[in-house]
Amino acid sequence: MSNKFVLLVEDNEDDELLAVRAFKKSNIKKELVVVRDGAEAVDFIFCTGKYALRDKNHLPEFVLLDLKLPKLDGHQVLSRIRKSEATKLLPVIILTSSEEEHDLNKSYLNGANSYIVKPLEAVNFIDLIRNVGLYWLELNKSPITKSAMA
Amino acid sequence: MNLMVLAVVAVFIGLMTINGYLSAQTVKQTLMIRDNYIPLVELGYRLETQFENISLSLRDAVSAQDQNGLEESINVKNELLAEIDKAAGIVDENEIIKLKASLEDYFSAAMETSQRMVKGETGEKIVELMTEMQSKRVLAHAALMNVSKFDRTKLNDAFTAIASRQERSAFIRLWVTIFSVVLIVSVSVITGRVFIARLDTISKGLARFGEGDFKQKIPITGHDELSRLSVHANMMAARIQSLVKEIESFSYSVAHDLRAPVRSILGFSDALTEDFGEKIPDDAKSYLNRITNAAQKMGHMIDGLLGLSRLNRTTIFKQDVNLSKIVLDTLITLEEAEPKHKVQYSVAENVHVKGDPKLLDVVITNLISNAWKFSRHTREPQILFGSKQENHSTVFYLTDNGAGFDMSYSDKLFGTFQRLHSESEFEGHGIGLATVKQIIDKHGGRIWAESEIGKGTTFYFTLG
Repeated sequence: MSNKFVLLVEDNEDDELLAVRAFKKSNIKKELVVVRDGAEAVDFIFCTGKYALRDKNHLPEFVLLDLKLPKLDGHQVLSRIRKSEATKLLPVIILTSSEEEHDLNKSYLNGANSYIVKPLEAVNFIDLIRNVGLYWLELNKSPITKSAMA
Repeated sequence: MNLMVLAVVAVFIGLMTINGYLSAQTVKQTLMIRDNYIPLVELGYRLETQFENISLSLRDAVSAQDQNGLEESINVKNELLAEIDKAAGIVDENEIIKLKASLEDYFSAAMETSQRMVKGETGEKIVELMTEMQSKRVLAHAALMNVSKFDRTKLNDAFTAIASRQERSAFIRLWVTIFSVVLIVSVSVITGRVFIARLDTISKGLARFGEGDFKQKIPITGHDELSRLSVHANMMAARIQSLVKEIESFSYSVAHDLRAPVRSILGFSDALTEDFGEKIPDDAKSYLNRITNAAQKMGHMIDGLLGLSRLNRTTIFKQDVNLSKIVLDTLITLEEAEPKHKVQYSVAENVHVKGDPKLLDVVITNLISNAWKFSRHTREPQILFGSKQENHSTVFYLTDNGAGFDMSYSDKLFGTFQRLHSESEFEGHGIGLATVKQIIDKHGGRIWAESEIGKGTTFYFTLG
């Protein structure tokens, strides 16, 4: 289980760097894999395009998904994940700067497991990542996905 | 409406046609009388006179024993005959022939008698001739009368017909006049009413535009200047609505996109301090601090703007709200957060309103936090909440005895990022009252303030 990882879908380089730092600071031992847009996220998860050679059964522990993304946006990526038999139970956490009712409700309707608004301050962001890691990797019991059985 | 107008016009045209027909008939009849009866009357008069002239000229000749006078009376007779010929057009040909024959008959008898009398003849023979002449004169006269006679009944009928037509025509004209007056008055009244009703609809629509309700449209009726006015007003409203939407989405996306770089500034400033803290000289640390503070402030402003923009796009759900309870809860929360700041407060009980509970909570929280904040330097701080009736509407008020502000700047009070106190004096971002005003506006209410520096401030508001 040590090769388990978390997938971050984030197009902003600064946000990615801060997320990586926050992961380090919160002592999360999992690898953080970053993809830069919605299309790349879909390719990565379903092992298509440049990720065609990736092991299909090797799914992340959870996905941290931004909503505002190039090519496919977060809502579209989430829909694809939920439509596929292999990934419909994969925990997806929306991590966005949008507090819009529209985004919130649409995300939950599409099957998001959690919705978190990016805080402005770095201290809060590190706390947040620590809490997310603690909750989703340690406290919460996630559903048994294919990769877990493999 | 159109059918009614058509019917009225039809009746109008009908009446005018009947009137025209009657007038034409009258003219025809009058002309007939002029052409047929008047010449006959004139003819009869002339013939009669000349017929008398024959007798007179013969009598004169006889009494003067004048043979030449007798010859002259032949001319008088010929004049009469010529006159009779003139009547050929108006009188039956046979009648004229009969008349001429009886005239000649009478004249020859009269001539013979007269000649004998001029010669001095007397006696029984003359008496006999005179009697015969007299009877022929009667016959000739009768024939003469017969020629110029006309049907009096017919003339009478013609005049009666003219008179009755004139009467009917006058009657119709009277009705046409009455009808026209009624028509004009009712058309003006109806048109006026319709016009005013339509103007009223337009003005109500414009008023709703004024209140910011651009979803409704002014209904378009007809194809005239008024409907064009409505069309243009609707176009203007649609344009304003799209501009407002554009501004909203612009300010939203600007605010939203500004948040990311602020997050980076704050994130990396923090990373610098934390990861390289010992290596950073103290001067640099203080600069870094200022960068962080400024970025934090900017972040708060952006969040405030986003909040305002979100509020702008919220639909309000009105229900019964207990304002007194919100006021008390807010005061208690503030007391718990800052127990050192002792405020005396008085809150009117059971002040209920119809409004959106979440949004009214934002209003009260903002107003009370302000009262709380600005009375921090006051010796015996007091906060009052209540309501009163003014001009048929309920006015709510919140009074403090805090710092107050200069009323000459009151127009800036509710502006976004507008502040009437320095940040070193009282903290704040200038978003609170802008938010409050937007919520009150959304409820169709009004908010205003009265204040005096050093004495305190009262906020008044209504809720539609």
